[in-house]
Amino acid sequence: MTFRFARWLPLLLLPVLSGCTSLQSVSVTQVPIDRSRPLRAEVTNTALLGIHFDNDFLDDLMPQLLRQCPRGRLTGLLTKQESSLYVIVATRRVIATGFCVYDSAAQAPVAAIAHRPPDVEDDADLPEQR
Amino acid sequence: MRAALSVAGLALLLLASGCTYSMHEVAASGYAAVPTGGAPRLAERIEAHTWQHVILGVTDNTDYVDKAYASLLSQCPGEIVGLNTRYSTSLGFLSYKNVIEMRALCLRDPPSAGPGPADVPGP
Repeated sequence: MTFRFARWLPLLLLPVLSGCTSLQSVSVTQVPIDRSRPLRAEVTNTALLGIHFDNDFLDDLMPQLLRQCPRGRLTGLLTKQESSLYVIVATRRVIATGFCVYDSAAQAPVAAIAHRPPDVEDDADLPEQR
Repeated sequence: MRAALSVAGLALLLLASGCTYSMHEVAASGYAAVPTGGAPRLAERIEAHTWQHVILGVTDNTDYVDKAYASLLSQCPGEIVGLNTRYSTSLGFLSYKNVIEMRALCLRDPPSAGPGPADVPGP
């Protein structure tokens, strides 16, 4: 009996010893026509034995997104919450990707106005990026 | 003892085979299209459906969600509104399948008016 159990033990331990990631939540907001300014933010929280003492790691997500889109509108946000378990360490992760949209050119920072697709050749007439 | 083991084996078989489906999350959002000031746009249904097959619970990513989103974006150059997202799992034998379904409306500009019948040259 012991020998039989030992034969199956590696199979049973396989999920425990390897990283197991699972999706907890996903949401999407409406996607704009102008997708020239993608942005991404990620926050993580790791804890031993999955014992987390607070959810404060989430507080940094929105500032990260807003820093990438000053005075703009954040749309097309895909937000994923996933958790990973590595033996005795559990990690919670929230990843947000989306687009920054400026409704008027006056709102956009200089760098964003000067943004061009990479296949366009340099033009000396364009303003300098600051 | 033997009967109990048989019942336990049967229960395990039922649990381990594909007879259970679970819906984890349904979300609907983005029903306020941004007005463009032009002619009313045409709405077309688009959808993306991706999955991840997981054996013995071993996986290290949730990339299938990103693939569904990228697929949705690739289907529509215009504004995407009315997004419905479903996240579900179907159980199989010692494995399960995570499924993401995204359904939305793609707003396209109406086709520009072509030459009318009066403009078509006659024979």
